[in-house]
Amino acid sequence: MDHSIVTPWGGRTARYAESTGELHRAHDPFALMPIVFTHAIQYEAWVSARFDPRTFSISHKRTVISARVGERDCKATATFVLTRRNKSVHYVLVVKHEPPSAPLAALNRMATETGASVIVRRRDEVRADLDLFWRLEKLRQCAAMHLRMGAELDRPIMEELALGGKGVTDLCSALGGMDSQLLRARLANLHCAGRLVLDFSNSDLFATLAPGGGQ
Amino acid sequence: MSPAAASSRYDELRAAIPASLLTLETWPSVAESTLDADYLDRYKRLVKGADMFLKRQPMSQIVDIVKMSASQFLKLFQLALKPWPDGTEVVGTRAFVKFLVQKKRKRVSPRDPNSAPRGGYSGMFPRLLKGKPAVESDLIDFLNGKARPNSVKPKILHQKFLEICKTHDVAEEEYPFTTKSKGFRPLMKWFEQVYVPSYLLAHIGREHGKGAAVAAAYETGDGQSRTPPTPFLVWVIDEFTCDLETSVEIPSPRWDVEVVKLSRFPVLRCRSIGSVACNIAWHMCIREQASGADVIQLFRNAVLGQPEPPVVDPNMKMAPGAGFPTTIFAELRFAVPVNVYIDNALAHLLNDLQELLTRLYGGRVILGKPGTPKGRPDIESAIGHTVRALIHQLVGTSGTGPLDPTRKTAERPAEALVRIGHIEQVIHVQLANENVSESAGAGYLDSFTRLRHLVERKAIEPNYLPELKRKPHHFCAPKRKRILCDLRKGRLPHIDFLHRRYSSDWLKKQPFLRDREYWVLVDYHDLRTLVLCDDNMAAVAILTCEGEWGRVPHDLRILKIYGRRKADARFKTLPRDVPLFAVLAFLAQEAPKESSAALDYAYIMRYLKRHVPAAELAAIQAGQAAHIQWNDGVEDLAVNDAQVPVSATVNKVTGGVALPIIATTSVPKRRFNVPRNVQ
Repeated sequence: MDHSIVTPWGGRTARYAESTGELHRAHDPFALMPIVFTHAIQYEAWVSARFDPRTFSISHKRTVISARVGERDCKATATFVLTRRNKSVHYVLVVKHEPPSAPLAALNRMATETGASVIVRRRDEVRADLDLFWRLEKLRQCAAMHLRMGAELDRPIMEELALGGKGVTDLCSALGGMDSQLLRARLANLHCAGRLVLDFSNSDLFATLAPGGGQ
Repeated sequence: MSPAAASSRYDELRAAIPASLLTLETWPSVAESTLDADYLDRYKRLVKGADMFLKRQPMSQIVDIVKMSASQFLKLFQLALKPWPDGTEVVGTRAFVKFLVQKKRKRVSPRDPNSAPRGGYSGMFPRLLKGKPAVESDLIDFLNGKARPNSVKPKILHQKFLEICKTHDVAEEEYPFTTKSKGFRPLMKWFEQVYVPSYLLAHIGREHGKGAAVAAAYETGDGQSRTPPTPFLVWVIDEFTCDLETSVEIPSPRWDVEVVKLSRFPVLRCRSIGSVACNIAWHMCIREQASGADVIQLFRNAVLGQPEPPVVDPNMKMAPGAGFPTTIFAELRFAVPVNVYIDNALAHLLNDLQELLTRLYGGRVILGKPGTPKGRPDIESAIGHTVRALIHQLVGTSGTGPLDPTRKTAERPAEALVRIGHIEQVIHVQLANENVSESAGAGYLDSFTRLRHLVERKAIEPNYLPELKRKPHHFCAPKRKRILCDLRKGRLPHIDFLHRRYSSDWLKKQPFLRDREYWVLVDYHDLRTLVLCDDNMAAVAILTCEGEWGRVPHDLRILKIYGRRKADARFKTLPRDVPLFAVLAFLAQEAPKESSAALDYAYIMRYLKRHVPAAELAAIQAGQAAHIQWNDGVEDLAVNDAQVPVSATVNKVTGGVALPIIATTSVPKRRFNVPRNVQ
């Protein structure tokens, strides 16, 4: 289904289709897909994985993986599935403390069959740097608000970064005082497309071209 | 155990020690004075050995100290890390006291028939459950199933137990039938110690109701499921019913005005949570239940700025510095929330609202677990405070529920009730003043002082709503619509929306656009126009509603009121070509008899009043004539002597101080025409 303009969330029926408990909904502006998770830590882990420069694609909700093991069709559930730029596939399981043994074993079995690997993310790992999470979350928000806006700026941004890495403030002034919020949105898009790499350690987001010249 | 195996087990055990138990001081221990002298020396040696083990000393030295084999020591150490049967602690150094920690005994042998008549039954109940597991599973099925009475009394449980035993071929000469109590006490012990801890929520649900089970489930969490909030940018909304009978003044054909009662109505409220908990916006819904459009209006108020209600009582003023963040702090105007907590009301699940929050504001929507108001304590407690401090103190309050004694004592005639305009102003002032009152949520400062510090330090870095998206038509989800056209029947290109035609001069001249699909943006607050957009969401044209509705400002609520009431109105009046005004006249007639009609009437009049320019309104109130253009083209004066407000008339008669005339020279014409001879 095309979610580029509008997402049919489905009212009351769809609300309880995914979970009868808590539900977290957002919009992924990079893949133009709705995000649905049932726990806050799952969403937090998703955001940090989304902005990992190695991430090529990522699923947007709890993902069921099925494979044929021996004579049987088996299934296992991952919180989300991550594909890196080097084409390696990872099944990410986000847990509060320790992963429950049966789902983890099923996921491991599935990973062995499909040539993927399993990553377990615990709550204390996910919440280790809350400031970073909020920075990434605001960046995703910024990109979602400026959807279909400012694509013509990508070229001047890349040309400016070819001269050397810059923070948002410097980049704004170098590009003639453009709107910093729109610039952040474009930088987030280019980062997730693998054309440049952002350093999230401070709020000024130092940007450099990705290895390979951002092509 | 070979040295290699001991070494491997040493490493495994070391890795298994929880971080909280890495020093011996944190272990549960026993007072040495309570120990038997014969075992004291062994205890001390083992404690010393455990301490060395925790400090990563070599096993050979530990063995020398404890004077036992490595495997025996490791076995005792492993026992020390196991959970203590009662509570959540580990066994600790109690494992080093001889005979203190023993494996729970399980009876395996049948009762000796030669034992004393009243003895030899120890452990028979667990043995029965182990020998016939179907008895236990049937008991659990009964307790969790629908056949169970809500409150399980011991006698009922016992009878069921005996019945199950008979079903599973427990003979009359076997336990429990051979005892006088027939296993009553061990059964109750099993119920309390095995069943209830294992099926606690199911048990609470049956015993005390589903709501109690949901609340109990919420309490089982560790309080850390929610993402720790960032200042100001995490919002929560909720709705509360204004438990108050209010009144509204409507024009009466017999005398000046008539005061009629209004039924209760909900109020929506938006607050930020975290270290700067403050009121951000609110919206009064003059209807029985808040709709999705009302919630959208609340979020518009929260981002674009909370509008001031009409001043009814000039003495009712905000405290110095009070207000709402978006109006007080320029840095927070147009700031959008990152996370929004909402509940599962149908209005909150409206697609337009979900799209508004996730796409226009770009935030994350968190739909709470149904039936758990404790999940949003920030707003629930704030609402509780406002209701107690304000609503329940006013005349005509109906209290917290049907059993509240104030409901009976609050009966008042309509004239004695607080007017709706006063209520609107008082809620506005109260919520604004709360922002400059000290609160626990803001570290016992007032919220605005704390917020000001954060804003000055630039500690809040919000995203702002882009300027292009602040127009009212963007506060909705785009809808896919097809251009309809039938030239044979003379229907020029148009779009059907809510069973009405929308078109424009440009569109009417484009018949080749027939069947082409466009996106449509709608302003739920004023349905006179739609914005037509292409697939890139670029605006193509503004379409206007055709017919009478295109000239009268109206919203979805007014359309619904019209749809609901027009059938009644038709039998009382002759609507002809003035349907809305016929409905309005009908509502004015019905309002004294039916409070929901009064609510509808009050809503329409307040809505229309907002669309009259302030200068024109002030001039009318001041008794000055304003031009009205009737729909047959005749121009007239809006105000005549009969319509001059009472206070102004009195001033003329008594010669007192006249009301100030605000607009003196030119009074603007009304923007929408009104059918003639309709009051």
